[in-house]
Amino acid sequence: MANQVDSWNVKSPIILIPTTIEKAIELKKQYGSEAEFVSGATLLQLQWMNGRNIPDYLISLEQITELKSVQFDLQKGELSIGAITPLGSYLTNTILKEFPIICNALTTIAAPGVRNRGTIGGNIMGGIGDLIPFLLALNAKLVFQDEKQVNEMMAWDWLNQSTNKGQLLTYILIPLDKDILENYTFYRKIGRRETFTAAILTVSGKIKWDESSNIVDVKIAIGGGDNKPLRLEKTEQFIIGKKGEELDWKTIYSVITQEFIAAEDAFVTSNYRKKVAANLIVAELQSQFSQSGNNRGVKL
Amino acid sequence: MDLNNEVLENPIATNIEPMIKLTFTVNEEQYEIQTSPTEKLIHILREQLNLAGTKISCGIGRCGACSVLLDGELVNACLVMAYQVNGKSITTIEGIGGVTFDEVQEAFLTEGGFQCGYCTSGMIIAVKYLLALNPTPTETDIKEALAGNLCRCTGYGGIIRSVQSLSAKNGGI
Repeated sequence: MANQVDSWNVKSPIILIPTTIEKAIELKKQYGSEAEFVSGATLLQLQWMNGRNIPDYLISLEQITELKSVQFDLQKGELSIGAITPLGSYLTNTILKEFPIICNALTTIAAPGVRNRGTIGGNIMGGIGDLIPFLLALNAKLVFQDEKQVNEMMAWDWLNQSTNKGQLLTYILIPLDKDILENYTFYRKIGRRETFTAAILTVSGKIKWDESSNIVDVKIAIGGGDNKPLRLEKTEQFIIGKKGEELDWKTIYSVITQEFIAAEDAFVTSNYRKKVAANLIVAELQSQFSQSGNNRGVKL
Repeated sequence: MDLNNEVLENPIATNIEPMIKLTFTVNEEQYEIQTSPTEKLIHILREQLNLAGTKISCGIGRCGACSVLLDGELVNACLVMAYQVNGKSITTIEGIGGVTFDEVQEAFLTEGGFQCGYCTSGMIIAVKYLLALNPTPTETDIKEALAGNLCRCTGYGGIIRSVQSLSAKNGGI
């Protein structure tokens, strides 16, 4: 491994360290595709070791303190997380500590020492981060900025459109309904070890029903490992609008396995991932009903 | 004006050339070295400063052998680049204890918290970080905090027992 480290270290990029968002954007405009935004760079370093080209310029965001802020916006009902907030901030940040499900999701990503360097924005911009399915399930928005405009878009739209090339991810916005976050949301990561490990897959979802047991909102997302993050929209359509007691879990299981196009590698087959995903999602959705304090006659 | 020059002259941004001078503190001693901005902290510590107590193993942030404290935070020295430590303070295993052992080192000795010893430096640094945040960790807390530190001897029982003894000493269960 030391040789690999040395081999990418032969080429030394110029490090630019702006202290404001505006200056970072100005530098990106100046150097274009020769420059890349970085903060902790924990994922990028691994990609460089694996042969990805190191850009001529690295625009380090670490000194832009406003991008480390975590805030409530009571008027908008949103939790705003600065893009370079370290993944490990849940240990000390009093606002993040208010949301156990967010803290639990963050604890599944990398190891404690890496979480102090790796950032939430980096996990997203890497494109395959474990946090992405969670943000999709929560209807999170991403805020991008360039020299012309601030562009706010749903994480789901960003994933499909990738129109933000060259823009700086500045904030992650999560709808701040604590009741929904903590009571109707789930997040699970499956790996090969009990503790810190690379993901085989990550699933996340949210389901909510009204007083008449009609399911009024459902989001289900999968990602992790080599799986491209995606929402299971067909499965969502199959569930939404139904009453809880009308749900046919065997059919839902089947719909999930048909819709989820799972990655395959030398260790884990696509079929295995499909089965694990379907089992997890069905179990978690059932659990949401059973924990509601009202037996809604879940059909098994 | 070339933006590079502008950056150099502009107080809101600094420009670091491919070979840079770094100033930082390691174990309360100040160092100034010249290196590539993307050189790994682990190589700087072991090869330029001769602080070989910090071990290198996987090199990709998976094993925790190279754990150090950077401004008081636990990090993997294999994933920290030179420019990222400029002006910062680092604590390595050489900075733990002194004439007598630190309490974590003492606990590892007393409770059999190491076997071959290769992971021990990183483990002790990770435990120092854990106890700074939580002086009375439970077994679950300990397992979570040490999840990034691998022991190839699988001597986790003694390690967990070591930390539990410190937790008990601090009033924990």
